[in-house]
Amino acid sequence: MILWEHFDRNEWYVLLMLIGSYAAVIALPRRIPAHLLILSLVWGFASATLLDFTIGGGMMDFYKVNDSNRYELTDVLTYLMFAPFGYFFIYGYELLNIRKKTLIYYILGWTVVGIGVQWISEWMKMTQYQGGYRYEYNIPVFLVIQTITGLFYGYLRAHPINHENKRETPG
Amino acid sequence: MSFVVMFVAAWLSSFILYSMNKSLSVAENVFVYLIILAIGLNISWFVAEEFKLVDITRNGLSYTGFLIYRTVTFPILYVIMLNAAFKSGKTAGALLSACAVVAVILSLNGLMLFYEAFIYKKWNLFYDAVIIILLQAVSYGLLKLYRKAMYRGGDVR
Repeated sequence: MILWEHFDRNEWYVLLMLIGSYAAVIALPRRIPAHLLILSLVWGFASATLLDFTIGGGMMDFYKVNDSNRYELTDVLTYLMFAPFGYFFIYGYELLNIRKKTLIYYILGWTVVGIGVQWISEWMKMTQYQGGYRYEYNIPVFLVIQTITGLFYGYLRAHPINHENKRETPG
Repeated sequence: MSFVVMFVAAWLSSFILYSMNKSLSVAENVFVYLIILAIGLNISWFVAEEFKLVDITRNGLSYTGFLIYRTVTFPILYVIMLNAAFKSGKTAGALLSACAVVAVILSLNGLMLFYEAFIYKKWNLFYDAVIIILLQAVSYGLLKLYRKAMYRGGDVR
């Protein structure tokens, strides 16, 4: 593992996005319970990690994150940077009171946001495509991830559980 | 053949999770799945790609089997383990489910080695067992912390 190859604009971009996105998480008025906030952050981190290690690395290796194909500290910060976007998605879902019929517009809106963020990320050299991977291939990825997130959150909203369901810890 | 084995293992683990009486809520189950997925991905990346301690097959179908194992089977086995542990409510039951999961994961890794989907260069099943047990402890600890956040509020989803 290396820290970074060259500390230049992609590192500045990741740091500024990281600080800005977590500052927004802290500053936004709370609309969802703490455990869903945590789950949405973990969801954002895990989905970014899954995609990068599956299509952005290994045998497929369709894009390079930051300066090299090696694991950099900046890569970890990049995955952490994506975590708040899971929260922003859920936050907007609550803020706009999204329902079954409006979910499609919400997902399409976020896909446009995703395309914009990816365009900036590519321009700032955070992601560099290779092996025939094209920019527009991100659209199916956004649609799949956001649809799963939207449907899953809709399910959680529709199926609240009570304190009585808490089970005892073994031991 | 490793693809078939890993596909069947993923199907079986998913079906066991679906059909078992779960003692964790949906949010808790997903939390454990995502935590183990994210940590497992990072560990496998360090072991295979960064330090080159393990060679992973470049055969497309076998590699797909490996991806299915890493993404589906491995984290789901931890979710099953924690559901079983919390359901028993006793230390002996929790330890039994933990030991069973260690045995299952080591058996699956053994099968991947047998079908040459992995080749251990400077690695062995003992190191695998250490990582599996450490991840069990991490998943248990993080779930307990998550539960604290979860049951602090009123209406829980």
